[in-house]
Amino acid sequence: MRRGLIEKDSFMKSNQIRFFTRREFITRGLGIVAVATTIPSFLARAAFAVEGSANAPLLGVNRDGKVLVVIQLSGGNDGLNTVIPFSHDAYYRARPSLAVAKENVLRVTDDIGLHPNLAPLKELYDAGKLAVIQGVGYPNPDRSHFRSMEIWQSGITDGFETTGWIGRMFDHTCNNTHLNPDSRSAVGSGETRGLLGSPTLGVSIDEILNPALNCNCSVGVALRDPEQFYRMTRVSARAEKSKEGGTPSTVASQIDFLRRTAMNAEVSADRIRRSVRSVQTKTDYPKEPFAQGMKLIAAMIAGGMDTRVYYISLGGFDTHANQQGAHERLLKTLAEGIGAFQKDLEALGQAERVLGFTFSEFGRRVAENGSRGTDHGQAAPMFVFGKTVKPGVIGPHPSLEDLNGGDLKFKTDFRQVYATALEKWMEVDSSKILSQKFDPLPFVA
Amino acid sequence: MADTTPDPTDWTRNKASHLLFRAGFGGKPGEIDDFAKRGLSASLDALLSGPTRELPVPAWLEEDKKLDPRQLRMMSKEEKQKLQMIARQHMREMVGGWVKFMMDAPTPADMLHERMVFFWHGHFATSVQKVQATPFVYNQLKLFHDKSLGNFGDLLHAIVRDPAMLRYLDNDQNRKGKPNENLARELMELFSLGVGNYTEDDIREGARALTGWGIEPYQFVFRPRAHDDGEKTIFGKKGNFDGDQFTNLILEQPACAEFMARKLWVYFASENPKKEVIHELASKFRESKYDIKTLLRAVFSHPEFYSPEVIGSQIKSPIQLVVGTARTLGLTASKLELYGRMLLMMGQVPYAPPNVKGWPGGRTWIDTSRLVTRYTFAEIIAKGRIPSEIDPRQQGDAELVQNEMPAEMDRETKTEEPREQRKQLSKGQRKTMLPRNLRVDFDASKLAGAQLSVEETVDKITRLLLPVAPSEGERKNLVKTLEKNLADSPREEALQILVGQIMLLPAYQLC
Repeated sequence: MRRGLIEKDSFMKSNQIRFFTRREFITRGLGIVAVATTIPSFLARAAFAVEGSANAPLLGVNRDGKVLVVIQLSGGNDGLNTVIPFSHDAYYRARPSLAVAKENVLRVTDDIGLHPNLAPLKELYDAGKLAVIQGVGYPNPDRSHFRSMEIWQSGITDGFETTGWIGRMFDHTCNNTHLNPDSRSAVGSGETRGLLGSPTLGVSIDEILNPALNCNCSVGVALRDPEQFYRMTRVSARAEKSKEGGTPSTVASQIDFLRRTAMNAEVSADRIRRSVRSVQTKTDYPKEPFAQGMKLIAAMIAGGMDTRVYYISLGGFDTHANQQGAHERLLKTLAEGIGAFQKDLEALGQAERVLGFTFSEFGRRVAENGSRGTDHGQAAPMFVFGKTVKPGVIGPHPSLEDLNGGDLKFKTDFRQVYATALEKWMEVDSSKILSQKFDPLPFVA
Repeated sequence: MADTTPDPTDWTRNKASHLLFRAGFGGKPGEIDDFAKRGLSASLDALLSGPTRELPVPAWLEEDKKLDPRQLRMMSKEEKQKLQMIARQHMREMVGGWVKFMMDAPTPADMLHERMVFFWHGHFATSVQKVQATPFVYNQLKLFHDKSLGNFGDLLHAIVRDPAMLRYLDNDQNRKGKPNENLARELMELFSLGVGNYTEDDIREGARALTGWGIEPYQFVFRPRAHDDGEKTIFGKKGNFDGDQFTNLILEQPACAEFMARKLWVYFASENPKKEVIHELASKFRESKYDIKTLLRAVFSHPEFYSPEVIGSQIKSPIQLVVGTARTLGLTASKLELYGRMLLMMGQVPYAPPNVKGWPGGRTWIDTSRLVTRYTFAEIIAKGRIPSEIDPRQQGDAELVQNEMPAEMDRETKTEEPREQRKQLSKGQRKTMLPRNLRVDFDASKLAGAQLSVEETVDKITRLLLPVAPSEGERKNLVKTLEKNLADSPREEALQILVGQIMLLPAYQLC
């Protein structure tokens, strides 16, 4: 049934009576946070931060910690038209309509160069802020988007794993000093286990948490727009949060868990919004969602968030037909986004703390198909960027002739990249997270 | 059979409500009254009486079946793209239709049946992300519809021949001399026995038994030339086993009944069952030769099922939450995609499980973003629309009433994002945009008669919607708000707001 205009009005009015105002929530909601003994200490700290002025620094937050930015290229990026083996005739033979002419390639070595639309990345390379890892993949490659992405996100190649590789890093480190020096004060057992660690340690620039961040310790927040996320959390913030009494212990513990998760969301949203609002960026970013996501990450880094891993994705790389225009635009979007981000971080004085890398679930077939596109392949290159990156080209390029079912054979295991990021950059033990030891790569100085 | 039916004098309205929450999607007021009156045994008879409906056959199914995947290769790109677009649309219709079918369940028996169909879908998980053709998915759904309350042995045999499963776990590529172990492994690890009850050798030999079990194009086919008919050793037994005999050997393992009893207990009752309870259920299941109704009856009549540790302690899956809310309240949404978007953002799209293990459930349903979505859902129900404060793309009320746009126009102006920018959003991002100009309605005045006092109204509706009583503070707040709202606005609206407020309590996420 439809409501008329007048009824709507009274509906709105009654609504205002029902709910607390935002200010009231902050007073009421956090009043409860401050007195409740079961709330993790980071929340209590956040409460102080919120109670202070909008410009007050967030207390107890490790603002100088190293930050990792992971860029997921969804759909299977054509590695051969990204990092181009221009000195090989086999490349030109395999790609009669798609090959990038030798003279247009932005040369990196005598053998390989970047696609002309990756000029901002070439600039980073020349400035010693970019490494290229060639031929990355894993044993027994799977050509299904779904399965291969799952392998990259979980960091586990055999069997099925619910947690992601970044999520497991949080699971293994929530209780120690590596990621959050203050979390030791919150160490508990039993019911409090799994509720430690600040939820904003991992942030996914997306509507839902990227599976790579799935964990057992309640870390991880997904958002695309801090203002929208903040507005959505106000809904639960207005609900009554009085302590439950007299319910059986299993129910009480579930209610407690739900309440804390809601508070995590509310506090995270508030923190993120304030940190982003506190940063005035002078760098121009392209208008596209990807670049705007990178801008948001830069603002969160500079705004004093405690986030250690940011995850963002760019889709559309599944170029089975008429690849050229679409792929070129995506490379431009990617490179301009990263270029602006790096420039911004330097202007904001944050560049030393940040390392980023790109990956895709697989590369594409060496030979183009009959529709001027390319089909699902295997090994592909990755970019690592950042001020402290050890620049260069890492690992051999896979042969263009010795193929596996028409695809490049991998030379470097992607878990070596993860192990390096975990050990050398995040300074955590990677062997438990990846369930074995992998040889690190020389991209962290 | 030992009688585990709790003392009939123990049977209360609360327990009837608990049974309907767990064995269904929550009872409607009349259903709870009816079960409370009947007592446990007669309630279980009603619950287990089987579905009253047939699974509807989609109008386009026969057309889709005619589409041989091999023909696709010969088509032009344009033809192919067109067909793929239609196929995706059909798939959305089918999955969305299933969710609607659950919401429309006319009786508690239909609810339990749907909960079981979903259980088997999660247990024998298959994803449309790999199995893309609609005939595959329809056949499997029909299999679950027909056999979900039958015999587990029959079901296991059927799933090993199910084309969607053969495709999903690559058994169409399992050939003599080039075995693919995917199905053999999951058949034992996830579908019947659990880790530790078979060896790697059993997997290798079982995979040989399954060679040649393929599909053509959407039906099971046995390819004798691809089948390895040599001798195999499985669970220490030797023979020239084929896929059926391999399945029989699995069903002979004592671990099978334990594994299934445990899995169903976790689904319906609690995450950490006592060992004795599982042994007890498993031995009944074994004695009945895998009769699923016998096992369910044992679960729903076990005293442990009605213990205070179990009642109200389960986190609702997104399907339970969304379907249950819609069914209990009798919701009508002007745009059905609301439900799909909500399920996606809450992390459970039917026929898109995260992997072959299905949805892990429990606390993994909840993280900050997913919980915020659950509360947003509550807000949408309370307001009957998506509030512009949550999504500023939504129009204000006055505009909405004056400029009601026809549906086709709405589609074109769905987003303010320029085309180029919209393209760059991943598929997932586009799917999570909330529909515009949505209306959600239900007749809240039906939930409590006008003769009831404010307190009685709050108690009546909380008893219907929550598995446990609200705390004193929560109740006081609900009463206070309802009093004020009744003074200012029509009863129906005041009650609608009350429902939304109850849905914002953490206990609404539980059942």
